[in-house]
Amino acid sequence: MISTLNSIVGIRGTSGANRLMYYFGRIPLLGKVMDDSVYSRHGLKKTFTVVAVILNILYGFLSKFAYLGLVVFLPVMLAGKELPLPQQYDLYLHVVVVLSFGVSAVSSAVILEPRRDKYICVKLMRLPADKYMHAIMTLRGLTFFIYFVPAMMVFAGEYGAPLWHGLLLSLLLTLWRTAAEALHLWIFDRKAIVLVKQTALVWIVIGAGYLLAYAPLYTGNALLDMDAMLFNLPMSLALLLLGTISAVYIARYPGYRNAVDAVTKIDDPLLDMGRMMREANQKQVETKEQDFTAEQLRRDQFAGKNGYAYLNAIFFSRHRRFLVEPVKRRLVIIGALFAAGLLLQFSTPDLFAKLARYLIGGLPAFIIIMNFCSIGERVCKAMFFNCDLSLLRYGFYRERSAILTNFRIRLLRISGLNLIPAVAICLALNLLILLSGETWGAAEALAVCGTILGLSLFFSVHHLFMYYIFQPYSTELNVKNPFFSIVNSIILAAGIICMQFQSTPAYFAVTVLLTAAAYMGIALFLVYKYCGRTFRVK
Amino acid sequence: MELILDNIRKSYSDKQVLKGIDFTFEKGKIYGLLGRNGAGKTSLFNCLSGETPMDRGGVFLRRENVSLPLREDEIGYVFSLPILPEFLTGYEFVKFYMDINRDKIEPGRTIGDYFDIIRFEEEDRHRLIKGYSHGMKNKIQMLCFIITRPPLILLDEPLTSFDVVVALEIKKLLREMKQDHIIIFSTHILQLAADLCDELVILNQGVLQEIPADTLHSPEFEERIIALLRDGDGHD
Repeated sequence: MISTLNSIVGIRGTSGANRLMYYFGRIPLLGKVMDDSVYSRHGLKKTFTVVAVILNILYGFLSKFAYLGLVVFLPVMLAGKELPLPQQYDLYLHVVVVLSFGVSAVSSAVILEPRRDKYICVKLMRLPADKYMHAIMTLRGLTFFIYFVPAMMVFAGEYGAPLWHGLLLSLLLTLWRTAAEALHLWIFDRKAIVLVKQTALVWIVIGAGYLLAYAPLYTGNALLDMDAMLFNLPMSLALLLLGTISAVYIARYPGYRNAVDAVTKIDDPLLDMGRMMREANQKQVETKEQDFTAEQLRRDQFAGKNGYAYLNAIFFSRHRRFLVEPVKRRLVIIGALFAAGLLLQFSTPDLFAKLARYLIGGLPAFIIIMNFCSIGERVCKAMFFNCDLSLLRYGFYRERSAILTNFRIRLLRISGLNLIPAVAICLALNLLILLSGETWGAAEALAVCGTILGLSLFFSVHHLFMYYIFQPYSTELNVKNPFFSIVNSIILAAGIICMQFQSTPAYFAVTVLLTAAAYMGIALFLVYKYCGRTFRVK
Repeated sequence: MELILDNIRKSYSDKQVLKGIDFTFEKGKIYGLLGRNGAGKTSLFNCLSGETPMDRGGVFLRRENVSLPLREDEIGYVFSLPILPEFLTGYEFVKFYMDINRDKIEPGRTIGDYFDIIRFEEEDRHRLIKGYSHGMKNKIQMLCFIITRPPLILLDEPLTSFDVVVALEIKKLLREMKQDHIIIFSTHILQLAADLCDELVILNQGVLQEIPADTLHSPEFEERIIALLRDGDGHD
């Protein structure tokens, strides 16, 4: 078993090292010192493998600290600051028991987990399934215990509990989870059900578990005297017995071949997170054939249009669900909020007046609101994946004049769509403020409308500009160009900074409009000048 | 009309794929570009079509002793994996393509005529390209250069996806078209190359070599090609 374990750790280490080297090579400047030959340089690779293994171990310890600290300790501290320590400790133990003993026993069992290295070791490298599983389960049991011990002891110490509590709790948890693994295997053996893949069940357990775990934080009282219940001889003996029986069951189980086969189908998306992401991303924006009847595909519908206008007319019509549906949803939300405002006006005018005053002063917040209100990013994704990705392979489509024609048509279309919710917001806002009886002149109304419409245009240009200049998507549709994210963050940060300025609506409106106009001018100029070079499939 | 390749070089990180390609292709001939997997056939095509920039060198088109750099619109490129906008129907794509290239179309031809040339079924024309088979997509790509008739036509592994009947039709079509065009098609299927091409060029070790025309139909053709391809193996 030691040799099997060795080779598994070896394989994991090597693929970890390759990944490490790959990402190292992607670091700007620093990555230049590494070229592709490093993958075959043995000594260097050994170093990277060792680094990968060490990082992995560190991650093992740190993840337990992070889990106990963020998921358990922090909420307990926030909710029960004033409680005496023993009571907090009870709450802490309660959360640990519900989440680690309960939820994770269902959701995080590894024995039937689809894993890449399970596939690599057993299916590709022909390691006997039982040998592999014995090795991996032993490794899992030991590391699970070892990684938990320091974190458990530190947090027990935080509550003034003796350190052996932490040690014992780690041991009990390991024993209990071994039993859970055995149960998963037993269920698979009897019913051929892979429990971790029953997504609905797993999520129900997770949802219910977290509710149950955090509920006592509101009442401030754990249901039971947790430490007395956990740390006693009978409980320890019972779990020891259960764990041992389970370990023996896992060790003696004869059918690992089936158990591995069941979860290492080549097409299992869980085996390949990258592919799963890719497919999910593409599904999000792809054209669905069944969306269209034969009638809709007939020729007359777009008669009279030519060239790029024709292409875009069809594109926008076939992708209505990215365009019209989101706008409709936004209108519904705006309508609902408006109705809620009206209701408030009739039921509690005082509160409503307060709200109106807030609306008047809260103009800067519209930078953020309009950002969320404007469609664009997903439309750009759909344009890329369904249209530009293929057409950019053709020389005529890459010509500057073609790109600009296309850009103009798209910009008009997206701006038009974004103006619809913007106009609705203007109307709703002005009506609400007027009804409130606050002083509200035509100049202010104009300033507000100008700002909102200006922002709407601004974001329409922004999304398309980013797409045409940075062309951030790879064929997998994940954002590849770091500048895209950087510029996007800067824009958002600028918006948040703007929110801090307190000034009259008129000044604010003028500032926003000028900035937006300048940005749009620059953006359009850059697109005009550089799109021929930047708008390519990378 | 001649297509002149002048010292084309291309590397991907450390790997030199094209090591100075010099060659002249002539109008009226179908050239078969042979090479092993990974020899750089697609890289060469991508460089010619402007899809990927070359590191050095140039491509020129010479008409009556005037050489001009090859323009993107002078190339028809059929990809080995057909790449078409899938949200359009075949009919819509061809109409769009014709709109864009209005000035290059033979006067009087309609969309219907073009579909008839490639024997495309009436009801298939109005289905989304998304649902087309590999062969159907390839036919649509072929139609692109039939419509615009660019001087240079590049075909990357084209006929492998066609059934025998369609392959024969396309072969006929290529032969009919060759008078006015330079046609280069890459393949690693020897039989196809021998069958269709007037000239064979081999891409091996990053350079182009011409195969003497008389070899093409000689009995020891296959052995000679294999020997040539195997030649530089020791270096890899």
